[in-house]
Amino acid sequence: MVGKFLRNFSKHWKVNGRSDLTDFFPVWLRLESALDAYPPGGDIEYRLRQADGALRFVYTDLVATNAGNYLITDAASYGSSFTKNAYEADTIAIPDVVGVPLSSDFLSRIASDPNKGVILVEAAKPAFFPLVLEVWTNDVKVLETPLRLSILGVQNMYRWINLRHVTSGKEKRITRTVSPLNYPDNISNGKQVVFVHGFNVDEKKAEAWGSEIFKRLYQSGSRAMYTAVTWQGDEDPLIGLMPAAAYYHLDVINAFQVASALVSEVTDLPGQKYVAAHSLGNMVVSSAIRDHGFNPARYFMIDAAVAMEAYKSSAYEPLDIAEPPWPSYTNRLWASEWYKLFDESDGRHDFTWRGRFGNIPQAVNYYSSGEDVLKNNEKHESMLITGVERSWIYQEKIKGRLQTTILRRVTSHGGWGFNNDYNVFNLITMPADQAALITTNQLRANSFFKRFYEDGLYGSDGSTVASIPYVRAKVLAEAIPATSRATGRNEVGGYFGDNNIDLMKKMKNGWPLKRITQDDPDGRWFHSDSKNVAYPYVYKFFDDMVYKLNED
Amino acid sequence: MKKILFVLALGLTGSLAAQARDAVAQMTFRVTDDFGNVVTNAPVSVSTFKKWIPGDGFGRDEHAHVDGVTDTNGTVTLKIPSKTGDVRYSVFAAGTYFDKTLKMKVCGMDYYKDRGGSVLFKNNVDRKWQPWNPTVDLVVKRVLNPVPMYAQFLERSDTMFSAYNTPVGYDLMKGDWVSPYGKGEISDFIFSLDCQLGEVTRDQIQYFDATMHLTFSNEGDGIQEYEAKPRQGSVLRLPRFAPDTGYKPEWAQKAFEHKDASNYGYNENQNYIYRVRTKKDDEGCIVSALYGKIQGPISFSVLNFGAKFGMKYYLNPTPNDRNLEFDLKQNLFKNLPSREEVQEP
Repeated sequence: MVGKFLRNFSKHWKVNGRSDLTDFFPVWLRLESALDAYPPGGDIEYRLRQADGALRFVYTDLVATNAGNYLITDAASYGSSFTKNAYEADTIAIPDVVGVPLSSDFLSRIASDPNKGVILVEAAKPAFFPLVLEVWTNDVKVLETPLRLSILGVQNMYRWINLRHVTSGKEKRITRTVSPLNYPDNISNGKQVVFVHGFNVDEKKAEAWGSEIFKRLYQSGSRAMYTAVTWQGDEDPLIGLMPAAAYYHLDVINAFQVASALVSEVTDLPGQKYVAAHSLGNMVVSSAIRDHGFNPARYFMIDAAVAMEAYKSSAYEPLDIAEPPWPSYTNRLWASEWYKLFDESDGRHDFTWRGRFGNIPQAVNYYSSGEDVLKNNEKHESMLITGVERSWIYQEKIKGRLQTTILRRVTSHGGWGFNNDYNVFNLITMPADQAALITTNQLRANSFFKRFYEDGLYGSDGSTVASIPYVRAKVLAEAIPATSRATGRNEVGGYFGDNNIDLMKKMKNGWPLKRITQDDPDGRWFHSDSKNVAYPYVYKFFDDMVYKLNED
Repeated sequence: MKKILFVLALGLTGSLAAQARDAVAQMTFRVTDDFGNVVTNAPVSVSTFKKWIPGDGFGRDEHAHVDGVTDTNGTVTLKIPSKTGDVRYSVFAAGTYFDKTLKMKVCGMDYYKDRGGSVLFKNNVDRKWQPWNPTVDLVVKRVLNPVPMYAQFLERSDTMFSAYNTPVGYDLMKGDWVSPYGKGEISDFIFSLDCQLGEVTRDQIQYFDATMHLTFSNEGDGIQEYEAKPRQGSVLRLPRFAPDTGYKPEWAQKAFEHKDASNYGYNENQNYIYRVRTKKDDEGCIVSALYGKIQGPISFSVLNFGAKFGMKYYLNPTPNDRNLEFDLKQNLFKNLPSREEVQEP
């Protein structure tokens, strides 16, 4: 028998939809010789038992060479009647002592094709005793063959790095980087995949993200070691009074703050490093690469919530983001252009997203033209009300504006606010034609946009102040609007070789019918669908990552 | 803290009040098929943003929708209150989608799925979004005669274009460059990249000015552009049949990457219909030709080791058959890598 490890524990008597399928593993009961010696029927019975009584299984009509098909194609050939789809088939308990007899229908299928005999197995609780196949005749056991098992929660198959303390967050499950109990390093292929989650993911959800990405990579054939990283991208200074999603800017600061700690932890991990990051996790990883010398063999950017200009400085779509009346003012006055007033040796020259991370040759940009969160603002709408759609654009638009003044610990400075010092008669914002006459020296000493939170940036020590990592992170996060679209929505034109991949166009395998709705008839690939949509619909994406993992 | 509680309270009150006072959008839809026939009993739906619900990540949006059915004139008028004025619409046959959701049933007939479209109303007068009751034409396309084709979503970084100004043929039936760059035999498309290279930056960014030229092997071969938005209307985005005239023997597209600016010369609304392997009789009349389409733009850019090139093409292998309706289950390319598979008809 051939088997593999296991994952979440089931409480169901049937397969609970497509999302449940990744919790099963195929086992091939190779019975050709046994069936010759002990033809089924009469007093001969084939039984499965497992001493923990922890397992359940599903009959399939699969052959060993396509045993993975239950994850990616629909076929009404599963379950006791061999008439159900895998995602809805009945599961059968494997008892501890007497075992369960295999059906004559199943055995006859093996007799007609020896490559058949695949069952799908899942666990309802931890299991350590082997799965045993027995042949009985006249109540006498004549044959027994075991498949050794070790089944624990999926968290026992990968490492865990908790960086929440770096930004003073609380931790429940501390960092653990020893070889995982149920997936020891010596059975891996020597590669190490590190996964970093995105924005507004608390520690518990970080485990869910880490486990799900691990399972999907594993089901797509990855045999790399794996480490899930959590960081404090879910700042909530009012502890639930405001939605944590309101504190995006604080989480951007945290992303920069945590990057060096990530490098310290990851450097000591065994194996050749590969890194995957989702959404704002890409701010962490990109900073780790650019600022702290992290050099992974490959970097999988998934739905990156980072402005394109950070990687490609010529990316420029300012009208997607600029709030009225700023488009009527010369962009020399904008916060996004203030850095140009200083030469490259000045710390303030770094107050820009342009080229912040530069070209990262080993990066693969998995973006989605169906994005909701990172959707472009192609009609250049001013957004007073927002939901999920274009919320990344929204957070860029509110920099320096009223909305950020109400958020605890977030500072409203720079961005699209005006500096009242330039008001006409102390009341009215200076008109665009008059503001265009403000000199460069005046702007250096007192920006036309709302002054930065730190007065020292305008003084003789401004360069020094600007070079403090926290100041730089805070100014970028809260006060410098991007002037380009989000990387996770767009091809970073001309960069990354052919490693810009549109998930929406290239990686869908059908789509859940419940996601084909009036407001989304196209079934768009949304921001977190690589995790939220069942594996059969998105497996091509994981296959692609695994292909790239294995090609080096 | 007082400030925040006040703002929260204000926000909630405002939200409740806003629900009661959202301006209403009214639109009249006229549904026809791509032959101009009125489609009766077509289910039309409009939807709009209703509210944001905090949760994992960025939370989720809830939408409101209003549905109706076209009358014997193929028209239906729908009203929906909208906070934002951003209203989506489509022919939406709930519960009838099949074949990986690309088709739907309307009155017992199979149509390709309609991705619909959207209107952004910007002004309202007396709680009515303006313009009031505009007429919107919706075209749905029947599933009539999908045929096998060679279809490939080609996207590669190739070093062959480092031989700039050298014509390189592409064999559409082999799905590969023509020898010596690949296993292709017939140069259906002949690409040539005219390129001036600039510096390569420390980050391995190649600055360049380039023009991609496309020419053909036979008199009568050619290409014509067809504009259609990728996320609107029928998933059968291009016309059902290739035209028999209008093909240009040359095509070119410029691109550049400079330090402070870049332009790649293409946009996602571009599509093409082409004719290749044209044979003419002594009088110059076409006796045989193959037709196909390129869905989406032809893209290219110059890297520091060659060029990146991309197009999603379909080729009908039957001579003189101008049908461009592809049967997704009958791609004549077998065992394409998943990233090169096409997913639209």
